[in-house]
Amino acid sequence: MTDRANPKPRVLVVDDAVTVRAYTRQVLEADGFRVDEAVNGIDGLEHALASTPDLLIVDINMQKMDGYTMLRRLRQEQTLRDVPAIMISTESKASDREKALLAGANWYFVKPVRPADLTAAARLLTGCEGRS
Amino acid sequence: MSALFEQFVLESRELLEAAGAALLRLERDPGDTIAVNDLFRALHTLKGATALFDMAPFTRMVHAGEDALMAVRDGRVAMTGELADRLLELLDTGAAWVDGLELSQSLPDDADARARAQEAGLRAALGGPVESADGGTPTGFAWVGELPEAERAKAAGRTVTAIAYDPAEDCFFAGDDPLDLCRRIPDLLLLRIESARAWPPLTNLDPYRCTLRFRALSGAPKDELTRLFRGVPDQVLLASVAIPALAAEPAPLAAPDSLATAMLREQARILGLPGSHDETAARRAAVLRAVRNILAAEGRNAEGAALELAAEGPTDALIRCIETLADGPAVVAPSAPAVPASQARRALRVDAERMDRLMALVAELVVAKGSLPYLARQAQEGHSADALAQGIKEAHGRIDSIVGELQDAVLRLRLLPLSRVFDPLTRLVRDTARRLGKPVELHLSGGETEADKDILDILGEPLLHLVRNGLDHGIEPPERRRAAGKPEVAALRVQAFQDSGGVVVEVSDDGAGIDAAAVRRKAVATGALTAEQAAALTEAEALRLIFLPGLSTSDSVSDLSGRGVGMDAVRGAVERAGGRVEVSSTPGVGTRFRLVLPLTMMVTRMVTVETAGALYGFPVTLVTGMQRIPHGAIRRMKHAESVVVQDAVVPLLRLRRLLNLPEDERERSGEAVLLVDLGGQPVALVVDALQERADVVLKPMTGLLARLRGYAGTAVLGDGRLLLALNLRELL
Repeated sequence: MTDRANPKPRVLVVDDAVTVRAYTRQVLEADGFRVDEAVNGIDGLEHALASTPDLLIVDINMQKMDGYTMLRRLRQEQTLRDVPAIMISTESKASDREKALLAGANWYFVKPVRPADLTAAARLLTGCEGRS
Repeated sequence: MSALFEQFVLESRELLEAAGAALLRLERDPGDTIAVNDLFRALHTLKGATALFDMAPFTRMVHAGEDALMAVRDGRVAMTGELADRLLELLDTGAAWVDGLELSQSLPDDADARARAQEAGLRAALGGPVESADGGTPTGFAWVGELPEAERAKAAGRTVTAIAYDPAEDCFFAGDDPLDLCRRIPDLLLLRIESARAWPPLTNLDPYRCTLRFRALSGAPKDELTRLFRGVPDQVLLASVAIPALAAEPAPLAAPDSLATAMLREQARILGLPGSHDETAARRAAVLRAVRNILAAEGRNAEGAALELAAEGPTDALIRCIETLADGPAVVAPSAPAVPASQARRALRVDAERMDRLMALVAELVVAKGSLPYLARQAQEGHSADALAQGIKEAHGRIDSIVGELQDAVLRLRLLPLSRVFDPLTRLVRDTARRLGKPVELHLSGGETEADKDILDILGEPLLHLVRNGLDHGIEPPERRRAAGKPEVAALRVQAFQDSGGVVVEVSDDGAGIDAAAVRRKAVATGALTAEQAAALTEAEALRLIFLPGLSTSDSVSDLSGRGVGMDAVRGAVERAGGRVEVSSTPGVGTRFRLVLPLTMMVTRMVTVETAGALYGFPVTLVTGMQRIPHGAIRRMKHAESVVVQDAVVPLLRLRRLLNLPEDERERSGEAVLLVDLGGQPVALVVDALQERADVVLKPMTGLLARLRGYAGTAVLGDGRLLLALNLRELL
């Protein structure tokens, strides 16, 4: 049952690990989000440019183009500069969080992220009221 | 098993393989930075994947590998053979665990101990604990560095005493109370209680044994703690460690009900971050949208006005406004999924380009289909038969070509590069060559050649066996090679290429070759042949004897290649896939095995023949030739017939007799003969007439008919006639 006035928010998940993408997709789709996947920074840029998602969830350490670079490039695009972005990485150091925010992230999670935290953050950043 | 877990198993295998390949490259060329990065990335991704599931030892072990590589990457340590061995061991352990996880979805009981052993081994290979300039972390206290920021927060910026207390299992009987002891630690900043190893099943749990271990940080000096733990000096490790200050004020802990607050605060902080004009402008735009969304999600739209007002003003004002919003009411709506959990899907990895081609062809087919109603209308309106026939022919031509391409496109979906079976060979050759003390260079080529997934699955084992066999029996020890004037480093070649609708894989070595005389003797000794039969064999025929069950070519039977059962199995596997295997060898120069495989098992290319009014098919990979043979050329000896083909005497069989059909009574001067390779034994088969080749989709015999072992299956030909595919070996 799709709410016509309030279509499902679209989330672009950029991660080179297929398991992480599948996990994120499962968690978010169960909570009513639509999920697109991209496998590295370049792929993510292309997807984002083509579809202008409502939220980005970006891994940092990726082949071809890492998450920092991708986010920086994306923030230079007029249509994408304000799309809320969450960065996710296994690094728990404060300096990593800082680097993510500098690159343009709005929030930073350390892997693994609990499903409830992920959906709560995604709802807040896409402006979805508690869906019930 | 959940789809997610399946995905994990699949991906972990791929990552472990990728890591293994990169590691071997790195060992060969320690300066190969791409290999270091590939390896690092593979381990890093693997660590992330393991962290999604509850398997701490796996995560920890991979983390240790990652650390070691980081040291290599940063030039702190050199890549040594020792370190490579340790890392390979780590990958092996990981691979074994993944296998186990697939079956039982849990790590083995000794996983924790194994992980610890791997960590210790890596540390040793790195030359003890890698001390950094600022003192580093003493051995046994790696966990201090791994503490999450939140747990470390109380000790941040201080020099504290770290305590690792592993009580003896029987400590209760010695009157110790480990928990009480830990409670009495002065200025306790952190206490972690962990299980020392995986929990046994509840029924085996012995409550009188202590299976816990304790990790703690204390602000008290080391001496004071030494006194506290004086009763258990052998079970406790103490060290002074400097806990680094947190780089920035820690983000407020995101308890579920304060996530919105924490996020708002973070947005305010982001606005204060340094950067170029463009960067700060972009951040501001993203922050504004995020804050608006957070307010909307919280049902605090009324406060949005204040935000929009502040957004017009300078950044300072905006920061203050957002901070105020963060302090304001923040009530998170209860979380309840709106949409039922999506069903787990099974994924097939398909190259996007191939999928696109498929889509394009379907679209073409839809268009081509459109011409049929038009033709029907024309027929109704009484157009001339000629015009209609012309139209139908054209439509057929178009649809036929599209369907042909469609078939090809669908087959290609299942094609995978042979590198999947080639890649493990690098490791096999390295390990085996090391063990045998034979320096060998492996030359792989044609890994990009593609074959059907089923074919690849079947090819793996025979390939491993041929390579192992080449290393073990083919290639001589270095001193023998030197004496023979050959280069000391032997060459082992594995190459693949496509050949007239099939895939050819060759395994060749520059070793001693196969001694055909020895093979003959062996065949006689095992009773497979009489001495006369053996003597009558040509050189090539004698070589093929190695494919018979129970014949080994090497006098020394080693654990590597077994006792000659392997070559028989190689032939069996390849033939099951509808292919054949050839061998050629020159004493002193080397041996070459050649596997000829069909591209796919879904569609089989058949040579069709007609006999007694019915159509029969043989896999094209088994057919070596077709010929008309005059009656005069057929020799008879008692009941057996034979014919000379390419200077070799080949037994002649008649298909009618094999199938118990009546004799061919037609007037004729010669016979149509199909030359078939039956696992090394050439056979000439007399049929009524040779027909064209056909690509068919074989349906296996079912029900009662499945017991007719002489038939491989049936297929319907394009013109609607039925083709019976024969299994010649079973017929004989």
